[in-house]
Formats: sequence, structure tokens, C-alpha cells
Amino acid sequence: METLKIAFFCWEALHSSFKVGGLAPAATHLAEHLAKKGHEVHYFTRGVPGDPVEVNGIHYHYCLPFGDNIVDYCKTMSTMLTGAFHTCDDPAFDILNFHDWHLVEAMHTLRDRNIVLSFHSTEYGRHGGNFGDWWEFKEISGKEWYGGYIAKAITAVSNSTKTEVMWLYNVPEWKVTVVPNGIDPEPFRIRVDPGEVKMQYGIHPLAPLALFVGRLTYQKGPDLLIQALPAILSRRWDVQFILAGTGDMRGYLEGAAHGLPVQFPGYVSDEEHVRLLNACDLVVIPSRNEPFGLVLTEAWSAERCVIATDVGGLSENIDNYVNGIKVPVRPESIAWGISHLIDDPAYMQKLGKAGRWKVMEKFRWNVVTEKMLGVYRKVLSGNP
Amino acid sequence: MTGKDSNPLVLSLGFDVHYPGQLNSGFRPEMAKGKRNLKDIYFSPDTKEDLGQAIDRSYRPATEILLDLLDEGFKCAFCISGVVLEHLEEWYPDMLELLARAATHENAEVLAQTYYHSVAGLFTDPQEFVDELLMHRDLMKEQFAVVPTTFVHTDYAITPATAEALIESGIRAAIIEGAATERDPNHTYTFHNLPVLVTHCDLADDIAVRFPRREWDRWPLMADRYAEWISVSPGECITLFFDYRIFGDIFGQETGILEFLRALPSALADAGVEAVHPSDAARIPPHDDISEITGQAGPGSSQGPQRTILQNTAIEALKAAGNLVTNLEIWRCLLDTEHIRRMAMRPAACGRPLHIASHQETYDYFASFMRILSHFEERSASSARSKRSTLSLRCVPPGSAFSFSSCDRPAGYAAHSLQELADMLEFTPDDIVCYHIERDDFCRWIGEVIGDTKLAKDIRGIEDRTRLRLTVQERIDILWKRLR
Repeated sequence: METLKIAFFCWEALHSSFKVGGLAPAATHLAEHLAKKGHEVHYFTRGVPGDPVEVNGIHYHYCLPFGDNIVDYCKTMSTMLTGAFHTCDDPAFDILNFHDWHLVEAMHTLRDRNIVLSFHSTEYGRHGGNFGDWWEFKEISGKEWYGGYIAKAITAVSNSTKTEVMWLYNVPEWKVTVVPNGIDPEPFRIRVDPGEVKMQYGIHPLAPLALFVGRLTYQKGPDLLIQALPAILSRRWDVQFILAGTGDMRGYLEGAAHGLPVQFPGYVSDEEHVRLLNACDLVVIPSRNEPFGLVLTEAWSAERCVIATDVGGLSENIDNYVNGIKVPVRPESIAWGISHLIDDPAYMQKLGKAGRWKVMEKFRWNVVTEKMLGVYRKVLSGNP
Repeated sequence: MTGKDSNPLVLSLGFDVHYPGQLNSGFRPEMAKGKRNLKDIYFSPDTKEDLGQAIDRSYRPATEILLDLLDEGFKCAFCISGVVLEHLEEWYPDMLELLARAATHENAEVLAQTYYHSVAGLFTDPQEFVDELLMHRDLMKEQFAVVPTTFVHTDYAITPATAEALIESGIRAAIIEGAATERDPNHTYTFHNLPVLVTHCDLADDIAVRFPRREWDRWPLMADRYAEWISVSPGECITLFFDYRIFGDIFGQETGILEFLRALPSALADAGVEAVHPSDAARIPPHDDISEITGQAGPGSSQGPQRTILQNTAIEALKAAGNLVTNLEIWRCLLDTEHIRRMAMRPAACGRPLHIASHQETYDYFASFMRILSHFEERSASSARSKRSTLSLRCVPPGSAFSFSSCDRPAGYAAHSLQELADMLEFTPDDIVCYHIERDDFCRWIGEVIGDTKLAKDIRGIEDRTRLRLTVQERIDILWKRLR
């Protein structure tokens, strides 16, 4: 097999100073696993001087964009990164893999090349499956449409995202391949004493702990979880909750959680995230829209049981009552799901173990990287 | 995988004959005023009648069936607690006679356990565990003229300490519960040099939980089908251990459970499964050593997998009570695993009757339990070496416990004794500790509820949480010294 020269365009990366959400690890790890297979990978992203230029075989190229709003900001980023791209385009890149809409202007400039656009989510999805009537929404949706139009191939992280992209942007079915987010399950399973971790958060070592990890934004539904709490606590009053992460809803949520056993540790480091995962008794994913749901495979990797809303990638990947519980997007249903699980530790363990099995079978990076390479090869062969 | 030809699968089947003393859930301290015999007040007066019912529905018919089967050459084991033997001797001697015929049958094995079916093995000090083990052994010797060598260790995870205590007491194998290990239950193992058999929870619960359920897709379960499931299992041995009451009492005769029991041995024989004694099964060369994982059950937990806050408080209180109370017998009756089990919402069944309770029900049970234990400790104080020390070290019922909270949220736990207060001060969040210090809550609780005015005075004005905790802990240590 020939080795490919691959360019990644993504507005965040795991080892740079800009790391916002799930996009950074998803794209970075994919790049690293491609590099591990012998391919030459260049990663074009944001960064500040001093960020590492080479990590795990990936060559990083940074820019520091500016702009009054997100759209302008991304436009300058595109210009800068196109410049950076040209400096190392000799020998020419075989494949240009763009992640989400942010760098569509760069795509436009390079539209004659072998471009693969990976949809990790859509603007519609990020707003919880709603259309917005403000200008950014329309602008970004337009960019997503255009990106999908000029790309040679599209990948989507789940079937539901694939359907969403096809429906929203009129993309033909043959153009879209599902490539799930991969995961390396090993670092997520550590031996910690859950009691000790709980105590560090001021929680009784034997209190059941439900964990939410993710951005505190409308899409992720943390407000649904908070609304579910009174019903849970009326049946079981020793349950504790941690909502790790930050986002525009944090202030509101903290107000709404007044008097409830909830903690908001804010953004937690990867290490702390893994400790919390291994200490908690169950993971709640109350998203309104979830293209893939990396938190799901992370929770499973740690053998944790999940209760999730029946949407998007969560709906697709969770086998109800086998490796998790799926409920409708309503606080009452989330409350029911948590109450149903939390009383039965043995059952939760069983579901968590089954989840880990599924990860080993379907979501390990080896499996996922091969899938992505298949897409690249199809593009290179010229008959997608 | 089954390797049936070279290494036939054997089944060891055991029955747990125990009748837990029921707590008197309506107990109030006023009821004990002027009363001498506290046991009658702490425990339900209906025990005799209830046991009689269990005998009529289950013990007698099941034992009669088993006697016939034993005569026909079937092998099984009985684990009979000291408590139930005492009751039978006192109230139902004819049942005891019947049971003795089964237990002393040449095809039956008598298993060892703790006399009071107790949680003593969970204490750091194995003394009580060993005491009860030896008490039970003496009783078995006296009643049935046997010395059991296989110990039933199914109510909580085996620990290195209990395994060592068992070996030192001459026990040669133990039966442990499958759910607590992460290993395949179809093999034998060793745990810290002690051969162990692992109960097969799924197969056990097919009977103990699912047998009468009409909505179960395998209903009705017939003996031949069950025997077939066993025969196609991989591995060398299957261990099943059932609460005796399952057969007739928990599931009435109308469910067909007794016919099932009667038909099982011949079905097993037809399926090519040999029934053996647990002590024989334990002689199968061990598949692996599980010293590393068992006892650490649950993902990386040192606390055991399924203990709730309430259970933990009760166990710690029981542990302390061992050195505070004068009447050991009542204390030992309170050690019964059934009390602890009823403080969980869905404890693992694994051959025991299914128990599903709401949090409220478990809390109510816990509350009755603590009311009784607290009262019992108070009563013991008058005859203790130091009355005031005993009172300071006693536990209190939930209504008098110290509930941690801050101005806007409850912490979700409460201290039921000085020791628990000191323990909780280690991890209580700062804002909550500050809140209580500002309001002088610790001082008032210790002075007014616990009644230790000296300590209350000592901690007044202490604002540093570490110093506060150390002061309380030092006081506790002094109080214990006074009692020794």
C-alpha cells in the first residue's frame, strides 16, 4: 500500500492552545492513527507561538486568526491556513481532509484538489435540531452546504448525521460514508478507588454519583438533567451529580441547581475526566442532538453504564437495556431512567461491561482509521 | 469447550437453612421502660409463628423430598445456622429431628457458616468471625456429630483476612458468591491458598427469582430443561446455593417448585451431570488464583461493590457496638446479614429471595435498626466500666443524627456517632464545614445530642477543620481507652 500525504484542516487540535470541544480529540487522534500507519499527515489549525510543531508524527501548522464574529474569524483563519498549506504542498498533498465548516473558504480556494469533508455535526444539530433565523446560522448553514457541494467525498460520524446532511444540504447518498469517531479505550479504564475520588469532591464515598460531561450548552441538554433532579431525589435522596464542563448555560444552570446536590467543577483536565468517569456510577447524556456522542464511547471504555436520550448517534449505537438505556428527550423520562438504574448497582455494572465490549468491537481506532482510508482510496481512484 | 468426555461437569447443590430474626419495626424506647428482656422488645414477637409457617410450607415438605432423594443416592449439602437450630429446638423439635435425619444422611454434607449468619467477616478484626465460626462448628458437632470443612461465604465478598481465619480454623474450602467475582463461575479457584467454589448466579436466579414468573420466556421451567442448561455449561463444576425457603415458602407449592426439586436429580442424571458434595467439587484442581480481584469487587473499589451509605453506617455502628454492649447475644442477632441486606434497594439475589425495596423502605428499616442499636447501647451503659464513655461512643438514630448541609444544599449524609462525625469531617466540603462552624452546630450536637459536654467545650471556637477533626478523634481514642 502506498503512503499518502494527507492535510487535515480543523479549527482545533488536541495539543494546541485551542481545544474547545469533542472535535479536537476526534480529528487529532484520527490524524495520529493515520500517521501510525505510515502516512504523512500535516495538521492545519489554530495555535499560538510555542505550541508544539510536531507531536506523535503529525506536522502542525498554526495561525492566529482574528475577527469580530465567528464567521469573519473563520474567514481569516482560512486565508492564513491556505498560505501555510501552499508552503508545504511540494510534493503535492494526496488528500485534504476538512473537519466541519470553519475552513470552507480554504476549501473553496483548493476546490480542485482531492477534498474529503468530515461532518462531525451540523449547524442545525448544534442548535438542538432547530433552524435559527439569525444571520450566523444562515451563513454557517450556507457554508456547510457549499462545503458538501464541492467536496469529492463526505464522511459523517453516524447514520443520523448522514441523513441530516443529505436532507439539509441535498447531498446524494453515494457521496456520504459513515465513519464513526474512534476511541482508544485503554486510557479511559483506570484503577481508582471510586470512594476516594468522590471524597475529593465532598461526596460520601458510597453515594451513587451520576456524571455529565460536556459543554453546558442547549444542544447537550444539561438543563434537562437539572429539571429531572427533583423527581430523582424524591425517590432516592443520596444521589449526587457532577456536571463537568463549561458553556454558555453554566450561570443559568447553577442558578437552577440551587439547593440540589449538584457540583459544577467547570472544565476538567483529561486526567480528572478519566478519574471521574471511573469513580461515577453512571453517565448521563441528555443531549437534544448528538451527531455521534464521544462521551458515550468514553463512558463505555471505562465500563460505565449510560443513560442517554434517544437521539442521533446515541440512538444508533446504544442497544437499549443491553449496554445502556435510551429515553425520550424529556426531563421526566431522564428521571425515570436514572432512577431505574441507580438502585441496581449489579445491573449497572452489567450494562457497562457490555458497553466496553461494543467499543472493542466497533469503535477502536484501528477499525475506524481503516474505514477512513477506504474513503480516501475511493476518492483517489476517481470513482467515488 | 465443554470437554465433557475428558472432564465431566459436576454440580454441587447447597441449601441455606436460616431464619432471620425480624426486627420489631415499631420499636420505641418507651416500650422498653422497666423491661428486663430486651430481646423480646427488639425483635418481632411473631417470629415463632412465622417460622412455623415457613416450616409447614417449605422446610418440612422440602426436607421430606430431599430425604427420599438422598436415599436414592443424590448428593447435596445443608448449611444450617445456629439461630434457626435454636429456634427449632425450642419450638419445633419434630422439625429439628427431620432436619437432623437429612443432615446426618450419608449422602448429605453439612456446611460451615457463622453461628448467627452474621456480617462479622466485614469487620477489620476477625475475632468475632472466628468466634462464631467455632460456635457453629461446636453446634454441628453436638447436633449432627460432624465437623464441617466447607464454609459458606456468600453474603459478602471474601477478604484475605477471612480467608486466613478460615484456613486457621481448619476450613478446607469456601463457597463464594459469583456476582462478587469477575470470573467465570464454572471453575474452581484459589483465594489466598483457600480453594473456593463460585456460585452461579444466573442459574441460581433462574430458580430463586424467575421460576414462577409467567412473563419469563422460559416459563414454565422444567427440571429436564434446567438440567440441560447445566449440562451444556462450560467448565468443570457448577455451584448452586439456595435459600431453603425458596422451595415452598417464598414460592408456594402451587408454583410447582417442589415437584421441580423432586424431579431435578433424575433429570440431572439423564443429562449426564453428577451431583457431588461441595467439599468434593473443591478438590478439582483450581483453574486460577483470584486473590487479586475478589474482595476488591467492583471496579477498583476497596469498599465492596454494592454497599450503600446506610449499610455502611449500620456496619460501622455494629462494629463499635461489639465493644460497648453487655449482652452479646442481642448484638449477634443484630449482626444478621438479613438486616444489612434490607438496607439496599436491590441487593443481588443469587439464590436468595428477590428483595426489591424503595429508598424509603430501606431508610425506614435502617431507622428501626439504628433506634434499636442505639437504645441497646444506652441500656448497656449503666453496667459498663465507664457509663459516660459508652454514652459518648454510642450511635444515635437518624432523627438525632448530624446532617451535613450548607445554607443552600444538603450534603446527602449524616453522622450517627462521634466516630462517623470524625470520619465525615475528612471529606465534607469546606463550605459545609464552615457553615456548621459558624452556627456552632458541631458543638451543640456533641453537647446536647451525644452528651459529651467536655468535648463540646473543647471544640468551641475551633475554626480549622483539621484541628476540629483531630480534637474529636483524640477524644474518641481517650474514651475507648477508658473502656478497656
